[in-house]
Amino acid sequence: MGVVSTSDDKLFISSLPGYSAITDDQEDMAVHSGFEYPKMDEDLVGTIEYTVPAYTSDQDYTITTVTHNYGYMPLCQCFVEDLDGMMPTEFAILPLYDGFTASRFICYTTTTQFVLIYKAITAAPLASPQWDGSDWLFKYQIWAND
Amino acid sequence: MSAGLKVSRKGFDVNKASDKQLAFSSEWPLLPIEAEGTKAVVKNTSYDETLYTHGLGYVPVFMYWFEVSSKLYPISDFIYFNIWADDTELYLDDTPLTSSGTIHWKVFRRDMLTEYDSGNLQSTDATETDSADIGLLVSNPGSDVWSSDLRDFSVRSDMRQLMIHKTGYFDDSTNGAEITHNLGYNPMYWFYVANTDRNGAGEYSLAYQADDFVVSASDTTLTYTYFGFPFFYTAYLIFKDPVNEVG
Repeated sequence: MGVVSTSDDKLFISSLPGYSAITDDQEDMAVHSGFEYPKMDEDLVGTIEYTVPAYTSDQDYTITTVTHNYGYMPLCQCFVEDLDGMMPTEFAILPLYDGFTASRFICYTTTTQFVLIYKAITAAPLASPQWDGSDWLFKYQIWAND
Repeated sequence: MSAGLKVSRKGFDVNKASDKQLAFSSEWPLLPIEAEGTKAVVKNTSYDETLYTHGLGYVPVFMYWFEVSSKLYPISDFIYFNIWADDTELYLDDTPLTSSGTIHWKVFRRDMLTEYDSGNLQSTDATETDSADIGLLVSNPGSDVWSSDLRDFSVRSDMRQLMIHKTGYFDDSTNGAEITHNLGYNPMYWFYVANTDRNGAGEYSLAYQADDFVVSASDTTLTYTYFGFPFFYTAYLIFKDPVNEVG
């Protein structure tokens, strides 16, 4: 695959302020019907808070699942806020790894669901389960695009 | 006098909706998909090849995901891909693959090294008043506007689009910066770095938040810090979408 845009399509174009929809470059357009854009259904965007459980063994914890039923694997992204972080309002985009224990937050889509997972891992002998009991806030987006 | 266009998201009065409650507006750009593709990769095989020659003449914004066993992961849980873009191509660079799977990539028609600030027109949120949608559907070329497949559409007012608020970049004289956005909420972002520890100058890869790269946000600023040396050229996009609430 390669180019999917059709920049010579003229059906619906709106330029940015100060630019012409007729003569200026695509980069100066606000929206152009010759391009597909990332887009999300309102019901497939959400947040969830999570407290990391005390470590007992290496295992996966499902934080949440969201059903989309698109019938294909849509693209997704998820951000996480470390509510107990060392810096105020510290954020990351998943996947996020704990560099000491190798524990991680990951997410993925299947043809029917979005799944958010906490993988509890201890990389002994170096690690201690330092995320235990910590609070996190996730923001996920399930795109309609695949 | 200029003419413009703004379309509110489902449920919001377009005359009262805040910037982030719009589906799109001619006051700021969306993120157009220029090209996309997939690349099947095999475990324990080293790759050093072009994924796509874009020829745009600038370093485009890009993103990728990884499919393994019928699951599609953002960025990848399994391996650390060294995928970068420069002003001619998107490249998979000598990545030690630990899982077989398929890379799904997208190149966007936007120069990541662009200083841009849309400003804030309406910061105060409107109350959601109506669940009906009387908005706009724009199908892709060749697709039926009444299609039930959401992938057949360019934009839709009953969906959220990624609206760009601000973009810019910093050179390698600094290991971090505070970027003022004044959005009134903590915004969603993407970062890219030209990591000259492993790639050439002008080759930008997606920046992961980790022990050596930290991002924090407030209602007015976005701050990044890189705890390493040498410092890297760093590009960013800030979206009109909260990173910690549905908004």
